[in-house]
Amino acid sequence: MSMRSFLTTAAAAAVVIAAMTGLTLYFTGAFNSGTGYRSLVGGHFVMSTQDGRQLTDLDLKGKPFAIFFGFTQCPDVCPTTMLEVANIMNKLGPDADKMKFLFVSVDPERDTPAILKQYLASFDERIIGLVGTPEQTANIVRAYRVYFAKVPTKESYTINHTATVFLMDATGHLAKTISFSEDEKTKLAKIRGLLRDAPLASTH
Amino acid sequence: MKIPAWRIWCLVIAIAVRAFVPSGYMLASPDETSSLPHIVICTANGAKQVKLDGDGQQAPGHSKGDSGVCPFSTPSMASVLLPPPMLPPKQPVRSWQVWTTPTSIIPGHTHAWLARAPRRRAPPRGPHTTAAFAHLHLHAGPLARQSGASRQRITTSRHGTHPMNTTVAVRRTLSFCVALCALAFLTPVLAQAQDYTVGALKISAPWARATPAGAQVAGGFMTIENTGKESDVLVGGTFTRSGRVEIHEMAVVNDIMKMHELPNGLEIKPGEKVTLKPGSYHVMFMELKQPLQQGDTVDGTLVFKKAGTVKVSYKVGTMGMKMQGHGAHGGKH
Repeated sequence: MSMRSFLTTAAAAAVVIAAMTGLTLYFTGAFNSGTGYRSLVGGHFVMSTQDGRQLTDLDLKGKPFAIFFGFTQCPDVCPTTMLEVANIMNKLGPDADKMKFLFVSVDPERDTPAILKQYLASFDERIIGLVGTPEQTANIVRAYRVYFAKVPTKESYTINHTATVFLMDATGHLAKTISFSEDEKTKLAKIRGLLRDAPLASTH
Repeated sequence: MKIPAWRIWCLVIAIAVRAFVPSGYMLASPDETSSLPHIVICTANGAKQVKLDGDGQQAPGHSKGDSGVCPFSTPSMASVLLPPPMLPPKQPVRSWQVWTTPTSIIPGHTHAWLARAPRRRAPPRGPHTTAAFAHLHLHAGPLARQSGASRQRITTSRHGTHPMNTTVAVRRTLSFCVALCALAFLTPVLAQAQDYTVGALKISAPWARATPAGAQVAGGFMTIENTGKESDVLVGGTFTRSGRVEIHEMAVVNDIMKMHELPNGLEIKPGEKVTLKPGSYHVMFMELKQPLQQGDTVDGTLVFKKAGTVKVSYKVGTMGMKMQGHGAHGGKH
């Protein structure tokens, strides 16, 4: 094999490798901005806060946030989660103000801004309570892919609902989730992680 | 210089194969012909495969049980079952976070967590996971292979990064001692928790959780033991601070809180001990007239089908309290 044919083969090899690398990078999404594919969790909503102000997803841009869905007549999961959120906020100290915490009522029939205000004050007044009309509630629930269903009891009803806390980045995209059964230490670590990644998340 | 052409082509093929196969690529299993994403949940009973449809719901007829062994489940089971060591581990504590493809982030369906085993005597109601501890493998099917979005990232807990040193060990030992002392002080207090007897039923330490302001419901908890030879049923009761009382069962299944009333009451079979506790059976106080505050004692009654009515007092604990009375110090009575 002569030097010439070696060079030809090597050049062909280089072209093939470059093309393949390019194709691979293209298909794996490496040319996309940062994380490539985005989760479908999250999106547009319009709700009222516990102070009666209107709040939309656009108002939340710029800071990461944790969002939980529940209702005030929920005996176990909701107070437990809110208590943990309040404990985590205490442990975060000043860092807690670098993000927002939201409690969304999935019981528009019974929960009002006034009830939410009173309820959330038992945990931490910085928690933003959101309540809306049945349509607004249905929209935010759909946006966050949350499950909820009314379950009748003898004289009233209760609501089965997703107990996940969604951690959203500063652009309103899902960063990670917290499951109800995880211990508080893990939950705190995940929220610290969210805050640590926050500047990165806001750049794209 | 002479280099055989086949050597160069071998090199090209090797690099090409490497370039075309993204890191993390796994071979598809033979039945993975459809484009449906599927997850394998490692449960205590072996791997469970669940297929998801386009909406992230479990696709019918696609779930398989015991489809194989989980290579990683044994160490994780051990970490749950074994008591934590007194000394901090040399390795930093790591928590794994899985970044999943868009289709697979559907809460309540693709996440695995500590699931409660079906309680004794609970009639089958939907999908109870029997695992004591489950963890998740995402099989990056054709979908993730293309997107490359299935990534794993390690977050290191700040507490875990300290190297082993005596200060930490001493601090741990000290905090353990403090906890022991606290328990020793608490035990007499807990021992005061009242027991009640009605007929063949023994009711231990009824308690309730403090409620947030504005809450209109609260849960009541206790242990009921049937020492007789006949089955009895808890059908209701009263609570001085609430309008009415219902008997409920609650469970968190797939990170979805599910609660329903037991319209026929809660049966306590002979010789059985049923514990009403958070995340399980509870007496639900509806239409709460005023919040329950830690330290309160609130009177009420329990009504059983056969044994009749018995007066009880509920002690109100903290809002996040998990257990009171005899269960709190782990002893068996």
